[in-house]
Amino acid sequence: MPELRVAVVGAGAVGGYIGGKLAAAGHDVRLIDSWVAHIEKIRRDGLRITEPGGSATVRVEALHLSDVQSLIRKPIDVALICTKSYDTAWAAMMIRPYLSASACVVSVQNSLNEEDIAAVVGWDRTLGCIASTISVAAPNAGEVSRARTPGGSTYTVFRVGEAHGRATPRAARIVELLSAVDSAKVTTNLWGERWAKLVTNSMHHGILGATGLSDHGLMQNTGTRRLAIRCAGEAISVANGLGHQLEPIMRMPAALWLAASKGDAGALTGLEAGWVEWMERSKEPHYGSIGQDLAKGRRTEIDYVCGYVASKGARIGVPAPTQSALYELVKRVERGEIERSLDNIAPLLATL
Amino acid sequence: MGKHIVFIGAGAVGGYVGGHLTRVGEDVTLVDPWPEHVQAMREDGLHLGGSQGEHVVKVNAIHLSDVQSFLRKPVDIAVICTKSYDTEWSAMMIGQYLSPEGYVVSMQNGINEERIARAVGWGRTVGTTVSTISVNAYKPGHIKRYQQPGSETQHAVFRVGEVHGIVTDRITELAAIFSGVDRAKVTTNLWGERWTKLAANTITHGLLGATGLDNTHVLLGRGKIHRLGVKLGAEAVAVGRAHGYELGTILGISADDWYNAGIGGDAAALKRVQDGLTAWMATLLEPSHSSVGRDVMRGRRSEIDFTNGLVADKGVEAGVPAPTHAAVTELVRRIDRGKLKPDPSNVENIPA
Repeated sequence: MPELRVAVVGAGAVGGYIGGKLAAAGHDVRLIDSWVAHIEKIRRDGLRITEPGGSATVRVEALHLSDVQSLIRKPIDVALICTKSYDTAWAAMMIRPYLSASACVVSVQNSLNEEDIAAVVGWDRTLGCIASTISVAAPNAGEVSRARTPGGSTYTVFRVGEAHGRATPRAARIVELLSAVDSAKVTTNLWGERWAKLVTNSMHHGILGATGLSDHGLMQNTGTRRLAIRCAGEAISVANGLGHQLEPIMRMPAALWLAASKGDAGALTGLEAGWVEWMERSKEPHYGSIGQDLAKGRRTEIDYVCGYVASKGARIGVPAPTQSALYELVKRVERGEIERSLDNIAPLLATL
Repeated sequence: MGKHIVFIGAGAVGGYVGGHLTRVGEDVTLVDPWPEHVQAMREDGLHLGGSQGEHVVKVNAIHLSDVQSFLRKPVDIAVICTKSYDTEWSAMMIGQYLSPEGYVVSMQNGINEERIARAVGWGRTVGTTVSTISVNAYKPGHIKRYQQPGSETQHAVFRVGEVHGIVTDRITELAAIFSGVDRAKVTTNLWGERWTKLAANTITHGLLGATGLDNTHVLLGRGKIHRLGVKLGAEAVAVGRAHGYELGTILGISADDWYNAGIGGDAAALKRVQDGLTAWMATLLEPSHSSVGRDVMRGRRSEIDFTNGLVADKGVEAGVPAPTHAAVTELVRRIDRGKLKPDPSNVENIPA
């Protein structure tokens, strides 16, 4: 079988790491990014990858957006979309003219962007891939780093799935490709995986973005912890309403989260113990991607996290008022109208 | 307060128009995917030259990675000046940052309003035909105009129109804004203007791209290349009329003369076309290879699918043959893909 020609659209933390590791393993891959200094640096000096096992510099083809048109001479078989969620639709549109006849486009992003991609390239060419606890960052131009040890056999980092859930040969080929980066498998429950991750993200990011707390700070404060559990309960109710079968959330079943959010004391005790155990894995405090973007004065992905949960809930008549309120708060921070502060969520804490 | 005007694509047309608007005091941001060009504009200003004098303008130019900053400064008027193949993703990208009454203007070759409307809606889509501006971004940060300004010849260079043809306040205002650059008018006949311009472009674009020759071979020469040019003009008129478009003069020559010379075999009409082309050449500062020809020479993807290719496709749609357009399109498509080199012999087998 001929080698797959891969394009990574959005070569920041996730895209840069995946693309760099694919190149290091000898795959036919190119990185595409709008961050000019990043592409320049990769072209000049290669991509520096730092991870617990050590550092390496990888030579990898890197394209500015103005170079994408050159792909007309050699179309792409697999496009991995690794942009911010708000750049999904146009990124898919940008790469569409350069897809080969049997090409597919894979969302390797947070939130659920498969629908936006499918609107551009069609459902028949759209797959999703969860990058679970990959913990990567792009601290400087030309550099990506990974905080956690590769998953290896103990934990599957990449879960690749079709929208319809069947294990297709092309999903298997993408798993094979990503195995050069870290552990990978085909999932037959893409939506359940996606929503489980969205529950985790949406219970954290709204509060972290509105307050400026870290994930450790959120967990240690009883008020914010309970508020997060309420957010999780809302997101789980929306997912259930949409008919998804949720995978475990922070290694605990969705039913436990839902029971705890509804005031079941036993469930709450078990859940909080499990949460402490979960946080043991990550000693460093994290502010989340949204917190980091707010700190830099950049646009965040909140529309695709709390905003997504709230709007999906509204569509099916399942209320998610806490998610909705946190979404509004983060939007105001994003527009520069308010500063991040614990005071912002005082009215929400008062309702607990 | 002034409108925030954003040019997506600050190459020849976008850079020239956006640069002059900045010079006359409009609030303009230029966005471009070509890193060196943006860098040059940021460091040394935008150098505008040619028929309207030499100017160095301190423009506000940004890379695509900074588009997200428009969240804090929404866009009132987004002027799309990209290559036609970059239209849809550009409109999707900027559509997220439009102000409540913001709208998107196509200032491109081809007919891209429908693509823009798919992204932002027809209510937010406006067209501007640029009639004979002849500009070239010959190196980063430098743009030159080769054609006499319309202000000297009483020729309206910018024709601003709503897709429904009604004269609205916003296009009246927009025409007033563009008149800061050169003569502008409101048109109630956007589609006719578009097709007239398309006909003018497609007389030379594909032909010069396929052959590598300059436009003197069409305008001043009287050999095979010239005869093919006349035929291309006649076919474009026939297809446009079949679609019901009301056409103006094409390179200063009436649509009837083009049709009668190229398809009707009328010797008197051919004489008028030839005299007209000689007169047209006299308005140009120097010979040109057309945008398709320039892209072909630079090894970049051309707009052939959206110029001669569009005439050929619209001909099929209307049942009016445009075999010469189809033939040059096929040649340039092969050149774009690196499978053929531009050469005068490429058009030997096309009947003139």
